[in-house]
Order: sequence, then structure tokens, then C-alpha cells
Amino acid sequence: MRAYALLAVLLAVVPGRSSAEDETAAPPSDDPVAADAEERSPRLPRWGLAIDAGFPSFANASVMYRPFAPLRLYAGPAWNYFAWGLQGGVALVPWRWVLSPVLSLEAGKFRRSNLGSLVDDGDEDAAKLKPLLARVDYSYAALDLGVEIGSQRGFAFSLKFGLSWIALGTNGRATYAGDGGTTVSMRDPAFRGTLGSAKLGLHYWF
Amino acid sequence: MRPARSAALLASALLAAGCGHPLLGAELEAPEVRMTSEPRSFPATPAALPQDFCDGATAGCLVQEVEYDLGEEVPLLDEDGVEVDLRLTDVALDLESTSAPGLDGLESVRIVLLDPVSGRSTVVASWTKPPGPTPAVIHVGGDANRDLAPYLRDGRIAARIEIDYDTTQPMGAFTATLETGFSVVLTVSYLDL
Repeated sequence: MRAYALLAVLLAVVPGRSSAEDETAAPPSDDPVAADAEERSPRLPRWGLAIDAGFPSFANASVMYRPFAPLRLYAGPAWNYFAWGLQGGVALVPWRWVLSPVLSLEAGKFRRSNLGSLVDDGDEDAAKLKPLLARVDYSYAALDLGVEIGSQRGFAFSLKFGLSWIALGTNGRATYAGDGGTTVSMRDPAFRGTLGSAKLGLHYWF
Repeated sequence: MRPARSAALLASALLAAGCGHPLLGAELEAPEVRMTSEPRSFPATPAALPQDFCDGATAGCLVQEVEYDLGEEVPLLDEDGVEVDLRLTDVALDLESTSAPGLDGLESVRIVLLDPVSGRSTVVASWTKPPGPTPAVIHVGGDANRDLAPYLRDGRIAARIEIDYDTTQPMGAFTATLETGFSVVLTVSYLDL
């Protein structure tokens, strides 16, 4: 839920604008190359599609929307082999060249999934924790900085790295024999933390 | 929207997402870990041997040591640089008579935690016999939400079951089953590593 709330806050702070306003509101560029490019084709495509993969977002497909030139919003389904989910975010592309810097903030949440197949049943220690992996919740947020290589009007690749915040929660109880005849049970352990993030993507604007 | 303002908003949002948790770190939480010892046998009195008695006692008090190896069950618990919030959420001791004449001689029961540094002991659960006949099964309820960090050493917690009895009244053998609930939160800040 934290990831959804974060996404909602971000989307709320983005002002809505009409197409005409956007084009007139674009700040003039001091850079002669960028300015020339924008003069020749002042209207950037508003809609696009993207596919990307990485950590902690895994595999994603997104519809992208550019409310005005430096900003884009994106959202779509996500897949992590065990479950489908939803993801979305906001990206800032302050300069639009063949090689464009991009700063993005995104969040995602996957459906509760069964990770029990990851456990090697032959490993006695791991097998005792298998019940905890039957219903796992996973959500994340990531702040990435990277580059887009290609056209802002057609195909472009992106490569981004950054920091992510991950929440991994289990739902269940594992009971097993501990040392000295003690019976141990553990309920709903969870992990939250900051990890690195990386993402490779392909965009197409139309 | 200017890029600088956008970046500030993004950064603020990420900070908000990490609110209450280490922004550059990790947290492992187990809200409930329960450890139930196998039933421990206490001898009938007055047949108890000297090793069954509490320190310094020759009769009237039986004791058994209990040790919980939490480090074996919870990863990282005894690692350097890991902040541990370990709490006792509940403790219960069930005594069950296994031979005549039962538990009538029982006067009181205590579960005591041992501080490994000071050697001080802390009672976390107790029961005192009420007036009237003693039931065949006794449930000793205990403390909740006690910070166990001072009692943790090398991932282990040492405790003791102490049982006072009336030396003038024979008491049959019995078993004691100790069930303890913990909660644990382990926090690692990358900046401290």
C-alpha cells in the first residue's frame, strides 16, 4: 500500500495541462543543438509504449504519457515469474538529445505469490521455512538516474541505476523442531530495506 | 515545472516512503517467534537430589535451567552492527502432575531471566498457590513486552524455572512445559557498516 500511496502522491503533484499550453510552456533552450531540434519539430509525441526489465521491478510493460516535454508518466503490468503486478512512475527528462539524461521515481506492487518452489526440499533447514513462502507480498519504490539513447519521437533505449526501497512480507507460520527438543514456530516475518536498482528498457513514442 | 523543483519533489517522496525505516539500511521483522520446550521432568519430593535444588537451598526449592538459542533460529541476531529489538511478548509454564500425591505441596513458581553481565535475575512469570486444593495442571502466565536485549549474549538467553514447595508435605513428580513468545526487529544501517 505504501508503494501505491507514493505513486498517488507523485501523480497528484503533476499539473494537468492542455496540449496547446504544453508547447507554448516549453522553456526556451540555451543549447543551440537542442533549440534547433525543437524548432524543426516542436511537437513531441504524447503517447508511447515501453518494455523494460531489471531489479526490483522485474519485467514490465508500460503506457507512457508526456503531459509536457520534460515530464512523462507511465504505468502498466509487471511480472516477476511468480505473479503479476502493477507498476507506474514519473520520469523527468530535462534535456532531449540523442543521449538524454533521465531521472525517474516509480513504484510497484505484485499480487501475493507462492515462492515455495524456490525451496530445495532436500535442504532440511530451508524446507522448514517453506510454509512462510506460500503467500508472499512484494512491493517496491525506486529512484533511478540514467540515460536514454535514441529518439524522443521514436525508438529509444534506456539504462538506469539507482536506489530502491523494497518490502517483502510473508503470511503464514512455520513450525519446526529446534535444538534440544524445542519446538519453534515463526509467524509473518518481513523484510524492508534499501537496495540497489537497475533497469534496461526500450521505448517507442508515436 | 522546473527540473530542480521536480527533483526536490521526487526526493521528498522517497524520503516519505522510507519514513520510520532506515533510508539506507534494512530491517528484518519477525512479529512472533514461539519456542516451546519439551516437557521437563521434576522429581517427587522429598526424593529430590541436591542437584535439583536452587542455589544455596537444601530443600524447599527446585530449579531447572533453560536456555534459548535464538541466534540459531533468527539470522543476524548475534552479528556485529545489527541493532536488535528483541521483546518477550508472553511466557507461559504448564505444570502437570505425573505421580501421586500430586501437586498439593507446591507453594509458588517463578520463571527468572538471568542477566549474563551483572548476574542479576528478573522474574518474568510467577504463580502463587491460592487457598484450597491445588489443581493437577497449573498454568503460570507471565510478563509481556519486556526488552530482552540485556539478557541476550551470543544469540542465547538463559532462564530458570524455580519451584518452591512445602517440605512438610510430600509432592509427586511432575513435568513443566515452558512456552515463550518473542518479537524481534533487526535493523542494519548501511552507513554504520
